[in-house]
Amino acid sequence: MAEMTRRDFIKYAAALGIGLAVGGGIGYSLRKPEVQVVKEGVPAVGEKIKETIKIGHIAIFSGPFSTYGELQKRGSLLAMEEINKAGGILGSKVEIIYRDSAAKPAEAVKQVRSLVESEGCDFIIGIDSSGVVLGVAEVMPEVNKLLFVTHAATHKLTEELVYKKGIKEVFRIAVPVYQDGIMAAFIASQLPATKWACVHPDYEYGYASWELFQKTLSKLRPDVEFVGEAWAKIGTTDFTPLISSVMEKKPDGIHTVEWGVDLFTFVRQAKQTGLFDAVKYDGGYAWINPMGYSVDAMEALATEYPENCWISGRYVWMYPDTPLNKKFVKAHIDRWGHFPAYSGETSYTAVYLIKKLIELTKTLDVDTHIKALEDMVVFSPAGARYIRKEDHQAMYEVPYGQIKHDPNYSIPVLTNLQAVPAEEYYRHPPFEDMPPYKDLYKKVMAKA
Amino acid sequence: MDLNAIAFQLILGIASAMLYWIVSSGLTFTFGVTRVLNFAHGAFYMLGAYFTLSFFALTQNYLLSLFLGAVIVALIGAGCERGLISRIYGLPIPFQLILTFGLVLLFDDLVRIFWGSVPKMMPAQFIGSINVFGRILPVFSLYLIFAGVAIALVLYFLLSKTDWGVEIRAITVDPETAMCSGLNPAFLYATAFMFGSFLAGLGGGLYLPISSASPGMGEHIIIYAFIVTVIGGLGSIKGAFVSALIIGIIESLGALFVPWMTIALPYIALSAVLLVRPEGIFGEE
Amino acid sequence: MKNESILLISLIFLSLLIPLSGNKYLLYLTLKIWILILYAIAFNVIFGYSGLLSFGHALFFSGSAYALAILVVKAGYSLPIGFIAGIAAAAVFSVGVGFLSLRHREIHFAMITLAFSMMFWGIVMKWRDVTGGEDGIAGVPRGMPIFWFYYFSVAIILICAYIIYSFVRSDIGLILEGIRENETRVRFSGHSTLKYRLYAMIVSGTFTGVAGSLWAMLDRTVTPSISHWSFSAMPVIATLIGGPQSFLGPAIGTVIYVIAQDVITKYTLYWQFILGIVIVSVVLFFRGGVMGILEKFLWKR
Repeated sequence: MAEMTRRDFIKYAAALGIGLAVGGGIGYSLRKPEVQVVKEGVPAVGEKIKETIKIGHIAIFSGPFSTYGELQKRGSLLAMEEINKAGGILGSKVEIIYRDSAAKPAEAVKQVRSLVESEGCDFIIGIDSSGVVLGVAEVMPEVNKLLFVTHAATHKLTEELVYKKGIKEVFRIAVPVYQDGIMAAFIASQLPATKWACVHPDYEYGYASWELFQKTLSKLRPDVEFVGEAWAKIGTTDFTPLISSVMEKKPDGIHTVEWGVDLFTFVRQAKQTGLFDAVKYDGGYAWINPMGYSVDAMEALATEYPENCWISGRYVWMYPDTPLNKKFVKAHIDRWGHFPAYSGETSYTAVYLIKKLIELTKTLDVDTHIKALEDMVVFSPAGARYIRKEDHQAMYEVPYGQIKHDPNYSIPVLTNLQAVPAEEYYRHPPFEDMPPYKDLYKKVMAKA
Repeated sequence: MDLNAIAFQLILGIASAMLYWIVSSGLTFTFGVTRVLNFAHGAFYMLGAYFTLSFFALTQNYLLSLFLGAVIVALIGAGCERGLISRIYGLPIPFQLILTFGLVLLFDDLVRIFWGSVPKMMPAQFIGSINVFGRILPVFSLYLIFAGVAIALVLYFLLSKTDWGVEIRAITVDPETAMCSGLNPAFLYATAFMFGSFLAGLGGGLYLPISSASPGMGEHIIIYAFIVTVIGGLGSIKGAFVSALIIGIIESLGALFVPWMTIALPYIALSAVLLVRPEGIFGEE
Repeated sequence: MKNESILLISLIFLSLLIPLSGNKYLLYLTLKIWILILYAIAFNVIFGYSGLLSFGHALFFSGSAYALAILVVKAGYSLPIGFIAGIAAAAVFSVGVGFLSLRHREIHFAMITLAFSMMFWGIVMKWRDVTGGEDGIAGVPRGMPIFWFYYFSVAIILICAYIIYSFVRSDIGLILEGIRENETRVRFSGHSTLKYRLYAMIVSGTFTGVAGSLWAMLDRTVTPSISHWSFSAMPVIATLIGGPQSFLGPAIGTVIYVIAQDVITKYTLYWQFILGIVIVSVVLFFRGGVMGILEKFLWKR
């Protein structure tokens, strides 16, 4: 009996070994050869730094939020095509490899490793959600490549991982949750509403935005109250019980960071349940939806999104009014037939930032890159971005505006744009307190 | 907190329970007959939404599109039953779950291929609201309650008054005797599965005008449908109706009283019911 | 048989050579596969040997990973203490869940384990001060370079696999299989079926916890996605691909599943489509799993 069982064990273990070896073999043969002809120092004129500069782009490409991968892809692919058409980066072609994060940290971490260690990517860009980005950031020092975050907004990334923990390989191109919480509170402070409530997605991003919003607004306007909150699970089909539970508290202002497909449903149902009417004031709605100006939402909801709600994004295509931005918007529309989404702009800028970085340093050395990037100013469609040395956050301002349905445009536009300089509403190292609000409030009020 | 608020919240809870009811009615019905737990039921729900959307673009008639969409999904369901699921009847549940889970992955990406990744909406229907308990009740909540009750009545009528329904019930209660008495099980299984898929497609189409269609939308709903089905007792249509109401109302009142823990309420309800009554409220031992 | 044992040893030896190849991704992927193999084998104690479909093993996996991360990152305990505490947490969870769920059968067992694991998921999402919510806990130390961590983990996994193997081949394991085939008969022969199933649950849950702790150290972050029900589905799929009726079936299924997924995602963003086809065909055409086929054609029994 014992003999038999041992044999069995050996037999199965053999099968396991075969499986492993075959697997390993397949994996090994499938990996691309890692030819990295990285020259020491400055390459001679006409000599390429590397045959092809490879960028790995990780975003959500499956499930209900897969549209966010597509929106990012439009931006980075456009940049790649433009750069290659104009002769590449110092003569090297650019290639972007797209991978699905499936909105799961472990999957994204695996893809980072696959892209860097198996495909030979020189940079990683993208990443959609905060849980995913924190996981990915942890492995960047290990794979020793730079990560340019184009969408995920958690302030923990730059404040804790980069600043406090010293993970220097991570940079963020997009404005963080300061836009959703702090800047939103600035807008709220100018509105007559005094009783605010929230309807947020039931996860970290919702909690962080609401926390920052409350902290900031209660300093700016000691007279406001926060009367109610509703937390919607991702994929909520029926918001009405949540909406009515909030309306029960009689708010006159609503802060919501719903996004993607949940935002579509929410706005449609909020309209029918009278939530918009409840927060109406003379001149619009005390309705603040930081990520409302996302192109997918604007295209789907179109005129259904009531006019004069206050919304924003991590970039809005009508701001700033610069030739560079106009050129980008036109190129994006010509290529894709859509206005650029905020994550499209950030992805586009990430690729151009990589181009600038390599042209400046003429190397692929990560440490040189980090030094060059710190305190760098990049001119991008969204305006000048200053990359802050301490936390590697690209600082630029994104305005809030009120929705207008303009028949000249295929999607609603924003009017009455309200922008505040980035250094006035971004949190500053050592990130212990909020920005100096007293002065700022005076400034904001003076403007209004 | 006045009583009106609670009563109003109850009405909304009942309205949102209808989604759970409509989706799980098909799931539990199919299970009762074929003994297959269909993970892809949520994918059929998604397909129902997308086909309704496309038919609406063609016909501009919502009710017609809703019906056509559900019919197409029923045909797809019948195709899946004949081609795939009929081959795994009688196998342990894990095989059914995994096969139909494979179908979920497949359909999710097919939707992305044919309709694109960007979620889609159709123009809002059932616009307007009425005043109940001094609060605004949207008309679509009434429409959902109406649709849910109508489906319950149609199901009751089909199962108790038609020959097909009687045969279905016979094969559900006692498959062996039913087969001995000359019923054609293949036909009944296929039609039952088709009807279950029809209900899933109908659910997707019914909810489209107040929400939106997106790839993978079925994954959110299917777990809730499982919870409802199990709480009610697997295969029990009455049970699905009652437990859908329980979950809908718990979630709705939860939003009012304990907004911070709504996320866990359905699971707490599920384990509470199973601990007390393992076979579910209306389940048989 | 002798040839096979030589083959086995040489193949495990081969997988030990992978870190030396210098391809870090290969190292990472192989280690991930090793960890998931332990997850699947441990899972199969309750599934294949006891005939109970658990849809909540993510609870033990993530429970252990969270216990480790919380103790080490948040409370500042040392890594070995965290590692042991993580496994202990999984053991405690498995006792609790076992007591509450083991009188259920089939789909009801699946649903009640699902309910418990999703309640844990809800707690993890909401108890942000401790668990970090959706963001999870980052910065779990590994205690050694990934090169050595590979050997450390493989050694632990092999030891665990051997213990699980001894367990399912022991008298208890035989009784479990007896219960699976005919519960009434075993009960008549004077054994408490509940007791034996509880043993199986504890072994299954505890070793799932070992896998979870190793996973936390490998990925260096712990997030709620490993508590979600979709993570419980992973060993079910792997086990069915490999074949639940043999000890190493789940292991082979894991290898195939992870590599298939890795290769497919390399070539297309529509990976779900291909993976869906693969899963459907496995169930339709290779029902006994890979081990079933091997037994049929290679080792004619």
